[in-house]
Amino acid sequence: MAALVVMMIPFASIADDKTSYIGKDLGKQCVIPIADGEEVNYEMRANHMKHLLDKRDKTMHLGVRTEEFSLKGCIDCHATVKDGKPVKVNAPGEFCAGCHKAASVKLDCFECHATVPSKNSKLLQEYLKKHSADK
Amino acid sequence: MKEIVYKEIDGTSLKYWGLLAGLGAVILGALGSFYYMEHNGHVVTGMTNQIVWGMPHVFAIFLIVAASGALNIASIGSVFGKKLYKPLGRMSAILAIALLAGGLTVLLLDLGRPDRLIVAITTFNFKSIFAWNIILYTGFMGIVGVYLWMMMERKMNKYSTYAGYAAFVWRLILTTGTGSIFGFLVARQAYDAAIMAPMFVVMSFSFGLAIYMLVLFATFQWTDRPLGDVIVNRLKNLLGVFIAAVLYFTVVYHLTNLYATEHHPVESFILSGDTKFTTIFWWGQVIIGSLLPLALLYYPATAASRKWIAIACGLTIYGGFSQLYVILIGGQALPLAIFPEHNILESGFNDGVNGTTHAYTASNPEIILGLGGVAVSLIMVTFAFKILKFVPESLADEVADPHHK
Amino acid sequence: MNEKTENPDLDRRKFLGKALTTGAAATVASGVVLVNVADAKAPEAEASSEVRWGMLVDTAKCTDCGDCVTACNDEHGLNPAEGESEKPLTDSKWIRMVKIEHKSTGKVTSLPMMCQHCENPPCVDVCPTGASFKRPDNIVLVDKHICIGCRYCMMACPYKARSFVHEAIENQVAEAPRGKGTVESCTMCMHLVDDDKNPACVDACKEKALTFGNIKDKASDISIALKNSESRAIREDLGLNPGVRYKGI
Repeated sequence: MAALVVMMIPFASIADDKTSYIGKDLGKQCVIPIADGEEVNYEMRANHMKHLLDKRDKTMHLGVRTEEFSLKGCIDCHATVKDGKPVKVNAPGEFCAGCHKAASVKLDCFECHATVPSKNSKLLQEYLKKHSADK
Repeated sequence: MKEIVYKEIDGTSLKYWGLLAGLGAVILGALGSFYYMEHNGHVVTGMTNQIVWGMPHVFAIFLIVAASGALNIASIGSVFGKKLYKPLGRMSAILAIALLAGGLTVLLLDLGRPDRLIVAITTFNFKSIFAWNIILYTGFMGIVGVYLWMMMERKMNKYSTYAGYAAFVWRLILTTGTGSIFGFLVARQAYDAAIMAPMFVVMSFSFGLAIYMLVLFATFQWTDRPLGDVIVNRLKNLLGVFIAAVLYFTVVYHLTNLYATEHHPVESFILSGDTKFTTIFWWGQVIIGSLLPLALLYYPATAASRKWIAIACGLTIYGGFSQLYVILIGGQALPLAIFPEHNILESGFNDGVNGTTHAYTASNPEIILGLGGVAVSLIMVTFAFKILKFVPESLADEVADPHHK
Repeated sequence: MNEKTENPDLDRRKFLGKALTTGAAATVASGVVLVNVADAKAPEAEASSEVRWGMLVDTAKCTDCGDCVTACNDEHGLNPAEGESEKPLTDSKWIRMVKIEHKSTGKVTSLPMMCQHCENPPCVDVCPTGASFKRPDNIVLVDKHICIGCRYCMMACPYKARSFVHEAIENQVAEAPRGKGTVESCTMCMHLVDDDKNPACVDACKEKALTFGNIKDKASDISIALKNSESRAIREDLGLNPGVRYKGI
């Protein structure tokens, strides 16, 4: 059911076809690649919360720190950058908030979690370096 | 002794609706306070990282303790077979449920994350006394509910004694559990005492009965139902015994603490310190909250007056609040003895530098939230009395007294 | 510009990663000795009960400078948000300096206090939801996803190690999620420890008063130091067997 609702969200409201987000700019693949012949990552769109929940307990309780399904990993990749500074993923229209607002699903993660990539994020550093070189 | 007839209260008078409206207003105020605290965080309360449990907890624990005590009247009737108390059983059981509901409401609304109620009731750490209490509280509601049904449904009457036994045992465990919330805290010198659990049981007898008597008096007076002296005198004497028992436990608790040198700091802090806790202990708990009501209940001139008995009940409740305030907040106000052999010269986190104690002043939202819990209990009772047959039509001596000739 | 000079950190980390995985001894030029290779944990590995992280504080070396406190606050984003002033009664403190004087001898000692990472932590016993928990490697943590903010753990902790987050926070760092209405305390910098680094306070101490390591590994620096010198746990009488121990109190 939830999956169905998610599928019905109009394309335009989804932030992941923005061109400028960090990971896309650097040519990164999602931890779950888009299925063959699809244009949208339906698996992630429908089930990201399950994967996040599963991973959350592994990291919190057992210290498993792979990038796969780590919220930090998502943010490092999917945040956009404006004027050399990362934009909060829960700001209107951004990766998390854009979709959650359209689907009217409460977003609880960011009462605690940071909303921009870590200052130690390799992707962010790489992105900034690439774009400072542009200038 | 005649057969007891129970009848719903009319509940049509302006006074009745006024009462409901008044209680409703307090509840609205409490919801506003809750929203305010929840929205801004606990920074707007008087609670800090030093005084982590504050006024809401005083109210909540008072109501929870009183809840199990309020059930005593029913237990005396069913378990100990005292006929005189039988007609009082239904009111006793519903009051117990209502008080518990009120207390739990306050406890829940003070949580840092009240939105996680589901987590609280589905994820259990079975080593936690708090978690046991969550089970004990829900169980209490269920068992007392069944007990009430057996008392009220004629066909089930014959089983009510068994349900009464179950409820009685359960309530003893429940109050032991509530007392143990504090009793097992090894870190805190004021709490680390096994006597906490039995002391809480005796406190529940006293607070619960005082509230019960006030509800009984008010209900019978406002509905013009006769309430005879036999019952009033019996309850009055029982209350006197309970008040004295609480005092006794208080004395023993402090004496045992005084015996152990490591507990001397906390004892002198409470008993002879220069903070408000010493004042509240001696004046609030001992003099105004225990000795004065005892005097009122046994001095012939006042003991014969309903009004003075009611005042004594009120003072007992005041004493109960004072006692819980001193235990709960006074117990936190003395900094933890992290370095028992050392004086603290400097600290980056309020460790009681040079013997400084922690201050606490309850903010208004906290107090209103607590009063909201009381109002929740009372509104439940007020409403219940109207919709079901809880209140006997008459408790005049010739109706209620088994020995009446 | 030359790529290498622009981001030396990245390259150093890559080098270290390789060094660790190939099992080479990992001693870096600056004299920082990394934890033993045997303890190195791959990102996908789970924390092991073969490891118990501990810390030894040598109070004789402590100069009361507070660098450890500053490092902790910076590492976990505990400083007040911009434009906000400190609120000493309600702000979170994961580590603090305490200066104590012995009642009989008058000896004055300064030391850092933080979560002592007990083997038998009272906070874990009392937590109704199991949000207070112990990792297999004995790091004591709060799972803020299931913490309901009842503060019973704060009542139970003999070290006043825990703080309640009293107001909404927006300046979290990615490595230390924290939010209003939940309880928090020292995590022994688990995000660094899982990455084979030392906790921030340990690296910040110029006097090397803090030794960190696996106390179950008898060959580790901390185990050797513990074995060869007198150390005490705070409130040893409670029998909680903390992972943090102190020399000179």
